[in-house]
Amino acid sequence: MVSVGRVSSWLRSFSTSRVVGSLDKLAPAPGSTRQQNRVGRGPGSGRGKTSGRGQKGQKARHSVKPWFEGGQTPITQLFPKVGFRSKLPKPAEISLGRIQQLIDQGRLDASKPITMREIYRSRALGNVNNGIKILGAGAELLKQPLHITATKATAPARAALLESEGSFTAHYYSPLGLRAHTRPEATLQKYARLPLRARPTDRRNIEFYRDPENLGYLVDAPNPPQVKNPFKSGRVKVSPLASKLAELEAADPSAPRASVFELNSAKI
Amino acid sequence: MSLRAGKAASFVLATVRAFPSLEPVAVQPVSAKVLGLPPRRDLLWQAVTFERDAERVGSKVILGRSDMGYSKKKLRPQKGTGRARMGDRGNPIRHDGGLAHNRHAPNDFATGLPSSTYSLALRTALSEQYRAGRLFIIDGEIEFGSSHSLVGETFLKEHGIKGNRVTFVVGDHRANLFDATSDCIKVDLIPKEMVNVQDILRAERLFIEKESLQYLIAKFPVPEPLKPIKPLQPQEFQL
Repeated sequence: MVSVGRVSSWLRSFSTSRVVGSLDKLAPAPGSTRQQNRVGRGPGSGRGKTSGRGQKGQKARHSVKPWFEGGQTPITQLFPKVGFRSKLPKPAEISLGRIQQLIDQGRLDASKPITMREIYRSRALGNVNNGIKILGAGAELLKQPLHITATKATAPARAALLESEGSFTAHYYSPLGLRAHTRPEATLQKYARLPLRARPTDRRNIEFYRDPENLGYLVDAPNPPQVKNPFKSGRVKVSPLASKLAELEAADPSAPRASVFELNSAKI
Repeated sequence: MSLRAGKAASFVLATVRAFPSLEPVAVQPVSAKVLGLPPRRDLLWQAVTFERDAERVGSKVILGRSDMGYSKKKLRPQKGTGRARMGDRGNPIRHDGGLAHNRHAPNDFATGLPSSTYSLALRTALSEQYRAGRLFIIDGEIEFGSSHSLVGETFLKEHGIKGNRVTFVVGDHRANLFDATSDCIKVDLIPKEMVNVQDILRAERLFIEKESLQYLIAKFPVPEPLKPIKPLQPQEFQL
């Protein structure tokens, strides 16, 4: 093991020898440091008697609570609460100009389709758990047709991609599915398997990805998920006893009959 | 801006020397981000201030009202005496009372510095010494054949650095070097693990073993530019 060396006898000889090297020439960058404001250190300091707090009163002695308006109804209580903040997950945003920049830097390959996996792995975006939205800013900078797949794209972005003979498809991924898409190694390490890709189940997403205007991936899909109408139930509930009776009646038409309605209402 | 501006060299050619003769034995290319960095007075100041803040023991004890050794009893009743209100004897308002804001050892004065900044500062300090011709890279171990004090003195005298502040950065305990220089007041031996910016800047001659320099370069590395994540091989992960 390393011995503790004689880490300098310099403190002993400090008073008798000049400090050499550039240790004595070091200084902070101009303007980077500030003197501490020392209050109550006598009249010569300029911050002596009242220490910059003025004369008498609550502010001179203690402090007044923030947002306290002296007893008047504070503005925070004066008006009712209006509006709300949406809890809907918002996708990360990236513009076409930024994508072109990444291509120029060699962080994206324009000759292959660009999916959310490529965008994530180019390290342009940190958190893509809620998908990626393509914005149209910088569309005039595009140098080549691009084939992009993402959660959604704005109308100018879609138009710019189609105009330059590229393509865009909006794809739905659940958060876990997107994780498996962008980071399969990490997903495999955590869950020991890659989950099947989920399809949208809620009305909002099903309608969005079946809309041709959004260039959704379910537009011409063979068996697209359907929006369920909660008010129309296709089934009629029949009690097991009633169905058994119907079976018996069908087998022996001569037996005495009781209507299904009567049986159900008697709660046999 | 000149369009024909040349590209800065990406490495410097450092001389590796034998010990104790200090004869050159090899030329070693070293990254310019280790020995060719521009002087940064402010950066070195930041690193040295950071080190010296952390060095402080903070042994000062300031006595407060409870540390004075007086009774904590109220000196007289709150009301009814006709005199002013008065608490205990250690009250900071009294002439023999304690101080209002006390603190007890150990007091920590350590400040923070991003490790990347410190790393750059240490490499800047090495560059500073290299540029001034004070940095000597030694091939193999820095060690004498004998532990006699005359060996150490002769070495300093022969190379004309007697009386100068000489620092050896060594990879392990060098028994002969330690004993032979134990009488020399301005000679420091520093294990490679304990090197800091002050040690480097303070030295008028800095002898460092090649392996120790490589250790420092690895410990205070040049940050790598951001690169894209390695593209996936499609056959590795089939969805």
